[in-house]
Amino acid sequence: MAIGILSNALTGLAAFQRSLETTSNNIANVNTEGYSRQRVELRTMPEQYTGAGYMGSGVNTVNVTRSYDQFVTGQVRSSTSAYSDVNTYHAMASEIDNLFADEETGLSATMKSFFNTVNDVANDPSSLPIRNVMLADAKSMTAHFNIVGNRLEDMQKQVNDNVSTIVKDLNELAHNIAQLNIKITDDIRRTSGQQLPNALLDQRDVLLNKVAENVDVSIVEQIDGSLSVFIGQGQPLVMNGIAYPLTIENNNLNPSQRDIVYNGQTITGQLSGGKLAGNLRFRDEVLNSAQSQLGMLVLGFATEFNNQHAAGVDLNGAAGNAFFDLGAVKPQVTGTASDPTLTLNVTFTPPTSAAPLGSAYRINYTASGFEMRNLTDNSVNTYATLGDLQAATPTYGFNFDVSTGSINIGDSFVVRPAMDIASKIGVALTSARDIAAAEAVGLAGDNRNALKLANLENLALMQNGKSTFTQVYGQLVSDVGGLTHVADVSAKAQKVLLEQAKTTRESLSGVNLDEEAANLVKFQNAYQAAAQAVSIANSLFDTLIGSVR
Amino acid sequence: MRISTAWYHQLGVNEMLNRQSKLSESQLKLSTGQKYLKPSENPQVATSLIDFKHRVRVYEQYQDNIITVRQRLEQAESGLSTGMGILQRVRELTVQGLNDINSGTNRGQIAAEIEQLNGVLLNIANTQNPNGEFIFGGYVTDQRAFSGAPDFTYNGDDNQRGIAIGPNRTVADGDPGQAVFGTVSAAPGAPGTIDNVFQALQQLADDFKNNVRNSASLTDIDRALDRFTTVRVSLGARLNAIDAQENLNEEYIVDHKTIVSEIGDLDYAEAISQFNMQQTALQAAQQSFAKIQNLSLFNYLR
Repeated sequence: MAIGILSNALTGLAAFQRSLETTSNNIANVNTEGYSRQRVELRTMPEQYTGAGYMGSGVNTVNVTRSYDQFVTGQVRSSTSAYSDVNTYHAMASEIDNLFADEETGLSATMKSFFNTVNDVANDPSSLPIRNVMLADAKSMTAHFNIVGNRLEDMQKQVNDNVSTIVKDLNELAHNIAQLNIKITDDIRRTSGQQLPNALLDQRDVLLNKVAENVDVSIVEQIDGSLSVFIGQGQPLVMNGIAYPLTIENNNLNPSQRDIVYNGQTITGQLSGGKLAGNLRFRDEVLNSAQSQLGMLVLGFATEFNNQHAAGVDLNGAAGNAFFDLGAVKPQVTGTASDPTLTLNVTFTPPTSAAPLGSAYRINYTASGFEMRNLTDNSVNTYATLGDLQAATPTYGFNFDVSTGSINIGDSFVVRPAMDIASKIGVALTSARDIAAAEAVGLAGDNRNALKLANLENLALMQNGKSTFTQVYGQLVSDVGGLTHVADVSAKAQKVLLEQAKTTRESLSGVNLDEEAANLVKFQNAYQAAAQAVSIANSLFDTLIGSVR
Repeated sequence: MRISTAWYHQLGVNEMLNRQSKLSESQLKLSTGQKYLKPSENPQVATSLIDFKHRVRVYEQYQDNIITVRQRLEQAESGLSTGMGILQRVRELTVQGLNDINSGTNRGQIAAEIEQLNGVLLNIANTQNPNGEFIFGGYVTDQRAFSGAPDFTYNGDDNQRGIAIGPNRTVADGDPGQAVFGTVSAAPGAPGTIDNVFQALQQLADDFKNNVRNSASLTDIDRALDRFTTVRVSLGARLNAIDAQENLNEEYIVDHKTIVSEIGDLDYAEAISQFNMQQTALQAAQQSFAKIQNLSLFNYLR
């Protein structure tokens, strides 16, 4: 009988020690990311049949389980993807928003300052100092264009770098998840599926969350405890213990952009969610359009100014030279083509007028020929043959030619003729005497052409006579501001959703120290009671021995 | 609901960070005086501000131009006013010289004075502005408007330089010399062609030197005086016109600056009360965080 007390008490000591261990482990991991609190599952030992009936024989520790809900964890994962997508987009769009924020130092003020100096030349056409001021102001204006243009080009590079980093991270995460899959399946097999390696499972969930931060994933749990991870349209990133790496390649049509390649197949367009989609959407929706709108403005402005300047006569009696040097402008082409070998040769050609210019053109090849849409005003022109198209495009600032491969029905391209002009434009004139302020030869006081140059800023020369230069700039700022605003709103909304999901997960799986403190007391008391039972068993034993002696 | 200790802590921290960033935004707005710090806060207003501020700058440039034109017109006007005084004096001398009482010697003295006065008048015609431009030369501003004795030929052209003083409005900043000093019709019987007032005065002086009296000279001087008056009236009209335009421009600038201020400037009363509220909110968050983070069962298990 004393043996029964002793053995019961000993099972209790062991069970409460395990419980205290688990509690202390919970306390130790109170701040560990992704930790799920654990508890010890106790079960009564099988009773023993005696004449008096079934006698209990103590307690058994059967399992250590974690508080976990697959659905709740999945919710956190998908909210993480969605939030990290819009948050990345918003953070990057804000940079451009900031770039255009200050009207006092913005491009509009710089252009106005230049036009003021043109006005001053119109007031004093023969004054060399005033002409020099105009030349200096022209240079500081083009320098300002260059700064903004370079900043936008840096952001293109940043997007490329981010995409490369994300792909590198994804490959590493996939590798680690595959390794964890192997360990987890091994551990589960060891216990015939009865007990689970809680810490490893938590770790794998943390890694999956990191994958979700980068790209939206879908997850399928296998019967052996391993997880398969899919991205895009069902491309497996991890299957059992094998990770399938992604690679980066330059885009065929536009080598300055990176494509994500899976098993020899480009899947850039199929990926959604996470930082990756945030970067790519930012590039396609904000950056490309801001850059090409700025390009359209700078190209239109320089074209009209150069045209008017060429109509005048300088102080040496010669016809006006080009005032601005457009630089080596390189159009950007993106698109999809069914012929993987297709490369296009799209080159810049200076347009003769600012009026027809758009920021970007979408060229679709259909059964009835080429259809070109001006993405600024959505006007459409159709051309029966490639030759017709080629004859038309120089008006819009580019030549369109096929280098290798062929264009097939269904192919679609976007051409941004002057996307990089802001970073390349300069002042061509070197001498103040070369400013063509006059209309007739040999008249020092003739300011007629300078008056016309100064008046260019008040004329609606852009967008088929609808907008002035300032208005085009205003549209650019408002477009970027609008997109940033929308991104800000959805980032805030997604943040709330993510916090809700995290709160739900944390209330289920997180460690509450008060609860653990209470448990400590509970298990300590139980442990002390069990120890007391041992002592009683001992004294019972002594009593028995003593009575025999 | 169960509360996770670490998450609870995190939520408290997040709330403080959130309130801090709102407070810092309000502080920035107070220090810049701007209602919106970035275009994304209100894209429509951002576009309007760019447009309105641009228009204000355009009109401010017109105002600067008006100052330039006014200086030039006043310079011309003061030159012509001096010129009229000179012509009046020449007219008196001419009346004296034509009088029978005077001897040849007297006429010679009168001729000498007229020649002097003619020189002064020529200087007026060759006035330069502060940039060294000859203001009566039309577009030919880099040469003397009239060459000196004995030819007194006009070197300029008949253009008037326009200066922009308002939208689609230019005003001439001077008058070509030929229109001011020229085309004094040749006095009947005078030898050669008299093309301008200088030649006329020279002719007059030469006549007196030779003791010749030609009453037609008086008509020449009167014509020249008439012409001066006409030009001065035109200058005065232009000065009035730019004054009127200046007022119009000023009104436009004030109106648009008011709009810019209404849509873009911070309402300080509102902003300060919001700032105070946010400050209180942050303090409340900090205090409650400090209090609640102290609550733990472990405090009692000693």
